[in-house]
Amino acid sequence: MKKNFLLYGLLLVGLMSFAQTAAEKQISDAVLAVHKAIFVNKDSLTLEAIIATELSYGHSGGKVEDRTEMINNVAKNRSVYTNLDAKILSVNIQGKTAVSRYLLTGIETKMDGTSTNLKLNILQVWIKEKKVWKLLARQAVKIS
Amino acid sequence: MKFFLVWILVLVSSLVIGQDTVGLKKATVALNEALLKKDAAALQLLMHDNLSYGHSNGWIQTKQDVMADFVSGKIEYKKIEAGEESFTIAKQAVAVRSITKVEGVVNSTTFSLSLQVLQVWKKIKKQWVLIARQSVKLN
Repeated sequence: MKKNFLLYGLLLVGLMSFAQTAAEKQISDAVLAVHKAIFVNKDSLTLEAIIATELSYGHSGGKVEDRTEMINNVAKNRSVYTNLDAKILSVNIQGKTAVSRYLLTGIETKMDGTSTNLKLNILQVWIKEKKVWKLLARQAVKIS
Repeated sequence: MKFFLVWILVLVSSLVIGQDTVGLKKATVALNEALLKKDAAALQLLMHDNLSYGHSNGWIQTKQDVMADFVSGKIEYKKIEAGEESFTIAKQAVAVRSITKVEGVVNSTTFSLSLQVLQVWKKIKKQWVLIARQSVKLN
């Protein structure tokens, strides 16, 4: 009896930690999906599916955009990004809210041919809406 | 009927949101005061244990880091002047932005900056707690 009880307890704990990992993976996938949609594919359809209507999107230079502005500007962006890398640094889940950070590195080449090295730490806040994690807030900061 | 439903919805949402922002505004003011006064007890309550706190110079800190820096004197704020706050309200969390003027000393060097500050707050057990913060320098 006692043995069984312990076994069930262990199983439950195992399942719970698995669930946590699954949620963390969902967030990590969402981080990479948004990254790719913005910098690689400039894909507004993906963004529309994964961004909350309330979005507040902050660039490293201090400019802040709402959802419509952000999606329009991604679609209009003529910069080319090369050597891109996205490394997930942290994911923290609190109920239906999650906070993630990732490191973006790469080179941005603008229409006029000028290139700049990008090294950004990007904070993202996610909310779970009908089983889907959506981006509520984002703020990038340049790091050296 | 439809109109009635819309009206109820507006009423309920304004009640919920109205209450929330009043409490939240108090929390944002309390946070800045606690940062200025190095009020460790207040900071403990206002900051979530898993807080991610990013500075405009690119430092990313945990709650423990933020608390430790106050004790050690690595960072000292002399002035925190938050401009008008804008609230991005979702059921799960609220993002608050403001242009904030800060002055202080970091590693014995004085600074005076104008920052775009993003804070994300979540109501947990009737208490607003800061779960994320990132600032960037404005020119």
